[in-house]
Amino acid sequence: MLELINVNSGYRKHHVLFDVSMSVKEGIAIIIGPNGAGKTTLFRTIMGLTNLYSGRIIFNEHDITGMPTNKIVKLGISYVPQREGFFEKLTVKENLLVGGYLLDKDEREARMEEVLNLFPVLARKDYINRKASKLSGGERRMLSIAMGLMKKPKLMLLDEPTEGLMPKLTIEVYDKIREIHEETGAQVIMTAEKAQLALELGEEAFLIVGGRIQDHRTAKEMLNDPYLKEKYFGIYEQNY
Amino acid sequence: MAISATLALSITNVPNFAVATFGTIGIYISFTCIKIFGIGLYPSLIFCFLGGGCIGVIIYYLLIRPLRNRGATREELMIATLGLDVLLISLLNIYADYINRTFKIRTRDFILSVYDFNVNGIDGVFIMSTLVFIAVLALLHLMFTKTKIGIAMKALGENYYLAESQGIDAERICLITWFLVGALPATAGGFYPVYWISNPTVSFFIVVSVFASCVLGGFATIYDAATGSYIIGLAQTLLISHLAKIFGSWILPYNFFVALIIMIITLFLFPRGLYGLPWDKIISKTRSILLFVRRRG
Repeated sequence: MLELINVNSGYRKHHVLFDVSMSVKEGIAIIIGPNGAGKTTLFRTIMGLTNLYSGRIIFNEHDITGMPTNKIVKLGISYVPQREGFFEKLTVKENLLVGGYLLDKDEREARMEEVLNLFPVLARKDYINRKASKLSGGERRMLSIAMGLMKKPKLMLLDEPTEGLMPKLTIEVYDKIREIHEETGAQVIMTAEKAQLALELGEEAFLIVGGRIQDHRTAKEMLNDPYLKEKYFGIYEQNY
Repeated sequence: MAISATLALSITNVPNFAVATFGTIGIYISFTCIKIFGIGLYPSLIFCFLGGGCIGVIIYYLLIRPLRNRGATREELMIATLGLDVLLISLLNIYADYINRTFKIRTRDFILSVYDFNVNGIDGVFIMSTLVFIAVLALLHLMFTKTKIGIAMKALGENYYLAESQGIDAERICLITWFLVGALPATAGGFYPVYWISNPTVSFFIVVSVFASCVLGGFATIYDAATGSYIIGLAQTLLISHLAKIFGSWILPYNFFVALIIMIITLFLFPRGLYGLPWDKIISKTRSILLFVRRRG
């Protein structure tokens, strides 16, 4: 379980998150909010990639406040960033090896096989040794998520996993996330641009606006809230 | 040395202008081993490698890491390494004076060719430098393609924060990189006094060739840096000796001018160096030209 207590953070003197307190239980949690609300900063703060001014972050009873990023990853938190979630100059195989950096050699090989079973397109002979820069948009997102999975995570932080993808691919990625959660039991927290589809996937949801948590309910309740529908995800409802 | 400069830039994002002086450190480690401790010329290369590596680590801890933690930009780090270069040259001068006064041996404008061996008229330095170069390149190739650390280095060079969020201990990788950044030029420096007259300020002349090699290579991979070095080295040696036959031996000290001209041409014609050239297109065009010639023939 992940818990944030009065977290204030940002980038040097640029304060982004203000007194954020949240407790996320097992399952799939969705964080929605407009652009620039602080969703990415929230994930980066959990991973120790921003300046944390005050507050505490607890993960599975470990205080990870101010901990170096590689140690946070060791505890089982895997972060898949919004963009550039993979290394363009490395091949698909090398990217997966980097994803499983903390595992020992045998464990890494076995894990790679398991992960590639979940993403058969990446396992193809002509793909595995291809430079990641040559993959399509959807394949890139799959690779990023596959790299995240290589760590055998207890918690996955997925930042806009479907950003810029076509509706069909978006549904495919969400199905994959559900499959991963069901098969591995990993807790998933994700931010979403296409809020309606994401809320259908999640169990609980948080609304973040201006660096503050404004609302926290079950995903179903948020999905049926007419005010939120109009303000934050009405446009997507028309699309799908 | 070009490989070292490329590693520093492509992995840790530091344009290291002190790289040639790391070579001078190697010269003086080799000099100390031979003249004071009586160690042979080529065994002393091990001490050059280890000593240079340790100095690289110290520089990372005392200069690069604190500056980067304070948010220094690439340009600020470049200026810092220029300052470091001046400091290291001063320290080497102090060291040369200290050894000169303590042991009463000449520490400036010396040459160590008498310690070299000769096989059928071929200088040992030629054989050994080629062997060491091939061994270093092969080991680096293996490291970057087969080991976890090598792949982590490539990842770190491409995206520092993403690499960290994969669980890579960025500090450890930077430390290993800076060990190599110090060790490789120091080892190369160990060969220098066998052929050339050496003193603490010799890096002023070497640095032009090193950066010309890096610019020609493209500051991206060790292979391009090695290719760039070989082209620059050959051009400097062959072209100048050819020009000396035409214009006279007065031209010989200007061999670094050749490196400078190649660097200028590279920056004008293909600023991303050999690495940035569209090799796929070049190869397919060459193939089609060869096919055309064959059919005509």
